[in-house]
Order: sequence, then C-alpha cells, then structure tokens
Amino acid sequence: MDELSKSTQTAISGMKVQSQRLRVISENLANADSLAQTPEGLPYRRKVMTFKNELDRATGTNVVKVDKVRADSAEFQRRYDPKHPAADRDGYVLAPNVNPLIEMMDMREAQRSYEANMNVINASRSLLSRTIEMLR
Amino acid sequence: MYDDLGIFKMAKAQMDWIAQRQEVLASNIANANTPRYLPKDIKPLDFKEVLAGTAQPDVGATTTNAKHIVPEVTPSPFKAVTQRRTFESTPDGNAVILEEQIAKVGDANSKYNAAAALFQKYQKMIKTASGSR
Repeated sequence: MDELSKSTQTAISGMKVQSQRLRVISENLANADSLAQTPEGLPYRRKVMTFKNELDRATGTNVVKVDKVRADSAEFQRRYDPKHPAADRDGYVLAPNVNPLIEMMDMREAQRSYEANMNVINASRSLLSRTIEMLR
Repeated sequence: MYDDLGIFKMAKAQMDWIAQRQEVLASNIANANTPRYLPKDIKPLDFKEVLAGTAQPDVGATTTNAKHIVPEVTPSPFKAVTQRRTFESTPDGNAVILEEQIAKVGDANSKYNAAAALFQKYQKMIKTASGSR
C-alpha cells in the first residue's frame, strides 16, 4: 500500500471515531432529561469516550480507534420537583449529569476534527491524481 | 531509465518524502483528540544527501545466512520525529493543533505539485531531444 492510500486510511479512521463520538454526544443530549421512575432509581448517566492510536497490522497504518466508552462519574444534578414519581422525601429529583453546553462544545470539536480529516483525504486524493496525470 | 538522471532522482525523492509526510500528518490529524498524543513530523530533506543519493534507511536487516529472508517491507528512509516542543496542549496531553497540521498538508500539496511539474517538464525535454512529439 502506498503512502497516499495509507494517509487516506488513517484519515478515514479519524472520521469514523469522530462520528462515533457524535453518536455518543447525541445519546447524551437526547437523554438530558431522562429521569428515574422510582424514588431510589438513578437517572441517565453521561457517557464519555476516549480514543487510542493503534497499528493496523493488515495495512501497516496507524489508525485511531475508540478506546473506551465509559460512564462519567460526575455527580448527578438535583432538581426540586416534589410531584415527580422519583422525588425523594425532600422533594428533590436526581437529574442526569449532562450539561448541554459541554455536549455542544464537544459536538463542535468533533465536527471540526471530522472536517480536518476530510481535508486530508481531499489533499491525498489530489496528490494521487497529480501522480496519475504524470502518465499522460 | 529515469533513475540514472539526477533531476528525476531528486524529484522522486521529494515526492516520496511528501507522500511519507502526508501519512504522518494524516495520523496527526486523525489523533487530534487522542489523549497524550504528540504530533509528529518528518525530518526535512537534506539537499546534500539527496544529491549524493545517500539518503538510506536508518534500520535494515542484515542477512548472515542464505536462508535468511529479507523483509518485504523496507523501512522508510525518512525519519518521523515527535515534536517535543509544541505550541500548546490540551489538559489531556494532546498537542495537535489542527490549523498547523492543515497548513502543513497544504504546503506538502504545493511542493508535490512543483516536483511533479518538474518531473513532467524534464520528461518533455527528453522527448523533444529524442525527436518525438
């Protein structure tokens, strides 16, 4: 495999992980109000993901993979809502530890990274086509 | 045949170098969110080395027995170095700056075009000299 295809492979792996990240972000955002049903129950816990760099042995390229998707251990928020079925004795309900602002920022970052990877693919492709042009 | 001509050799070395660099830059950009990832870059091409044709791989396997198999994948003659001094890094230790990397990609692109144009130009000159059109 030539270097230009390898760089395309790497960029594609980067795009893949960023889209997976976007999926986790959308899960978090969608569940920002998923509360428990019973007083002892726990609401939705935010998910975070980490990436790792890995050598793909089949092609000999360095690719990015999702390392882990784990639960964010940050504390839950508390909302005062005595009428809710999950409210405790004092009338507080545990709410998910999702901060929409943080999720939005993460989303923007994923979007930018995705675009940067796309640029790399475009650049590699133009180099490849330039090489092929030389045959003419 | 072209390999014997200095100009072609140099243009080829330059294009090889850029292709390798493109790979390194791609992995930098792909790892823009990997914790503790430091960006890499390839050592600039040394003009003297290219001219002398001595840009050799750093590592190579030595065969001491006829039965030893020479690895098919030859190590790249270009050295990827990790950038120790970076402009800034995120709290998770990642020091990739997308703008910087994209600028490098653009730079590589134009250099590649220049080398390819040079290659073609000389090819045309040879064609002219040999009388074919």
